[in-house]
Amino acid sequence: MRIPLRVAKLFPEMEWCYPLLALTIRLPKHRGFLMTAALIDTGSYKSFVAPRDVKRMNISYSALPQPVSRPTGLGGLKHFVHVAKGVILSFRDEEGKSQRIELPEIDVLRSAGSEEEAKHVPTILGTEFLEIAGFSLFYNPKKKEAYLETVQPAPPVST
Amino acid sequence: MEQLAEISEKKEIEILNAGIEDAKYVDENFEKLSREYEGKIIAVKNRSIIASADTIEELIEKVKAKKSDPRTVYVTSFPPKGLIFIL
Repeated sequence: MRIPLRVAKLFPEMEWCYPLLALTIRLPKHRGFLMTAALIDTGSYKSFVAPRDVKRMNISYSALPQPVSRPTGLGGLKHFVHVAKGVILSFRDEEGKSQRIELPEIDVLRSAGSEEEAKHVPTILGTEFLEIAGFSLFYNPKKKEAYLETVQPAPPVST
Repeated sequence: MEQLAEISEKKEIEILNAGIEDAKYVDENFEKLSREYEGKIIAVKNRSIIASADTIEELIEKVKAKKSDPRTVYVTSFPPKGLIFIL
């Protein structure tokens, strides 16, 4: 199975591009639903829902578990982290079919500093997502080509 | 707004397809849009900008005023010059 990714710029001044996955995020326990584009970030183990996406989901931070003790740095900005349990991620495969992955939890971010800068932080899918879903990431920035892929185990060789 | 349980798998695919098209629109017009909306956060629907704002709260209100659902439109932002995150 192959999941196409978009390779796009996020910062006007820079030529850097990033691999992005269009997906929906459901937090059933909090009646949260959202469509967004998440950055596939192999530099992060954890996955994060960005503050701007939390607000669009219309879920209240007070309804989430208390934040973990220390603020977490992301993009050079500090955030409080609320851990939401039971997450369903849905996205489209290359045939246009819906694929669904469940994560046991996801970090829901609340800005601990400047909202002005925090509004530019995207939602992130870390290597934990790749591991749980069994995906390999292919990324060729020069050709602006990227996708996620599950590799089927080779059939046993008969002797 | 529709309740969570009412968003079927078919509807979910429609939302994803629309979001992918709207993201493509932003990519195709990135340079122009990033100049026009520098420092702002925008909402895109049917390949057009339906709202822009300085804060996400303001954007959500503008999207609702356009009878759209803030959860299902494509939202992105254009960081001002000089602001770069190491992600």
